[in-house]
Amino acid sequence: MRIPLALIFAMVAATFPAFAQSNAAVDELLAQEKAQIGSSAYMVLNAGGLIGEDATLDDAFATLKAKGWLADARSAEAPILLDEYCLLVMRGLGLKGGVMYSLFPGLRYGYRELVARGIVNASGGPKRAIAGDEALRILRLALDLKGGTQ
Amino acid sequence: MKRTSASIIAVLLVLLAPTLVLGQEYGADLREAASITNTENSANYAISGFSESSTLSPNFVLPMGSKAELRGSGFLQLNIPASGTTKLLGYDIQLLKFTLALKQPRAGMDSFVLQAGRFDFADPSSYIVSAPVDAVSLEFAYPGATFTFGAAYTGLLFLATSPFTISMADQARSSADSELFGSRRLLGSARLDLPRLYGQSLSLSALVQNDLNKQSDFIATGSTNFKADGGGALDTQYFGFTLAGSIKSLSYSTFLTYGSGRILSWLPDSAAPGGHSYQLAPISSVLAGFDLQYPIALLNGTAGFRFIFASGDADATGPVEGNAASTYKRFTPLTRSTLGVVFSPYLANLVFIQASASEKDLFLAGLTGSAKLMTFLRPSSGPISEPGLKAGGTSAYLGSEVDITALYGIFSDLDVSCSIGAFIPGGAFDSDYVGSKLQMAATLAITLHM
Repeated sequence: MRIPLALIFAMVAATFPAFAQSNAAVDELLAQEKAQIGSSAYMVLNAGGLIGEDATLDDAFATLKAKGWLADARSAEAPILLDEYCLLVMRGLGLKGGVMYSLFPGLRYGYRELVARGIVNASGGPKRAIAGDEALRILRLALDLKGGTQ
Repeated sequence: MKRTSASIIAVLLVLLAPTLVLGQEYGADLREAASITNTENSANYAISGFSESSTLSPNFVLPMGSKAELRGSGFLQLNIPASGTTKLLGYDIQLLKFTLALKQPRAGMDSFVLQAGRFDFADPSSYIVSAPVDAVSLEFAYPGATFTFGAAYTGLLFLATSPFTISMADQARSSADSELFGSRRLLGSARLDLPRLYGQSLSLSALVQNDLNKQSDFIATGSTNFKADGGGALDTQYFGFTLAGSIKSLSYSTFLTYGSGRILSWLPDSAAPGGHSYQLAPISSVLAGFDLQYPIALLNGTAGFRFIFASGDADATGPVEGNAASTYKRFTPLTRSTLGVVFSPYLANLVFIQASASEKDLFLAGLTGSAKLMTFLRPSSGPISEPGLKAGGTSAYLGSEVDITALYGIFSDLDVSCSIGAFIPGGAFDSDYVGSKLQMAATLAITLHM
């Protein structure tokens, strides 16, 4: 069942500190059939408080690269893969992981952590591109997790 | 040793090759378990045994487009038994399954699912057979009914881990330990699932099992020389129905299976020199039961009740084969079901009654606990699969058991489980048998999902 886009928008946007500034980014991500790295980074880093309220997509992408969370060769417009997005969410929101993530905080265990917590659907494997609405749904569930007991 | 090493390498290659070549999702579970057992009888109070096992279970998932996938898992287990002297190595592939699922492949058909490879092959009740075998399964789902057909072969399971030991020849093969693979049996199944009606679903099923082991392993029909440790080909068939559903909050499932087949039997024969000869006799047996589950909202858990009846044969001379009458009435399951932590006989010549309760997050978030109270009876004075019964005894009461199990997820990839069971044998047991007063077992395990 596909959740209506408007509902996802309302749920995710309501969690952001800067609701107005985020509207355009949410709209843009929702419109992407394959979520782009820049848009995804903006949403996650904004939700995690790692970029300011007035930051742009370029700022988010630069922050991502500065932190070394992304291979240098990738552009902001490139589609983000599921395991990359999972690791971004884990790092961006500062989520604690299990034993394996604590020992090896990389793509593999970032993805497996969110699968184990029921946030990510593992049926397509970790190396698939994700749609914008799926990226927002994952982010919303991760924020719920962070707000709870983790 | 050479054979063992080659087998392990073969298993690992099969499991790791798709992962290494195609780089898809893979993982492994590492489980460390420690068990302790304690038995008492009238003469001997406490004989304790401590055993350990380490199990590595690699697994992978290989998506093949949107309609197909390949999944695999296996295990490599090192057991250090209670004696502490001999380490036992167990290994095999548990799952290597290709699945093709098509939605509405043609007009009037809802779906088609093909499964091929090694996967869990089970009858609707799971009490007759439930084990990983090499099989093919075809499921055709129509709006009015779902048809499932399956065929399986057990002869590629390693001998040490094959659960198919239902005949004297199977037991002899296990004891000899001279072959790589276990019992060779061909299974065929057909199942019809009718659509749910008012929350109830009915399925009809048939299961056929043919013994393909070597004729030279069997005693020939017509032989007049009695051999206590010999037997014949054991072919069986099972026809049954399962009815399951819910009435308000009460969930239930009930099943009835008629077992038939033929078994080599030591029967009176006026033409034989000793008055007896080996002849084939028909099997006529029954397995029936029901399972009830009721949610307890206050405890965030479930209460359950289970009853299983498996017919027995008072004339049987042993727990495996041993027929000495014109018809063999003992039910013959193909694999063993797990009943109690301590006492878990085959569902043959057995009445099993269980009351249970399970709870989630009762004391601690992530903690799941369950308690079971079980009673075991035998419907006939014939033997059961477990040793220690009083010779010539007629008592039906085999004993009762209490089990408590708990599972706690420490982290998302690390959990710990504990199970404790105490079995108090009944009047059917010989008082001299080790454990005739009390048998206890406890297992503590920790599992890391890597």
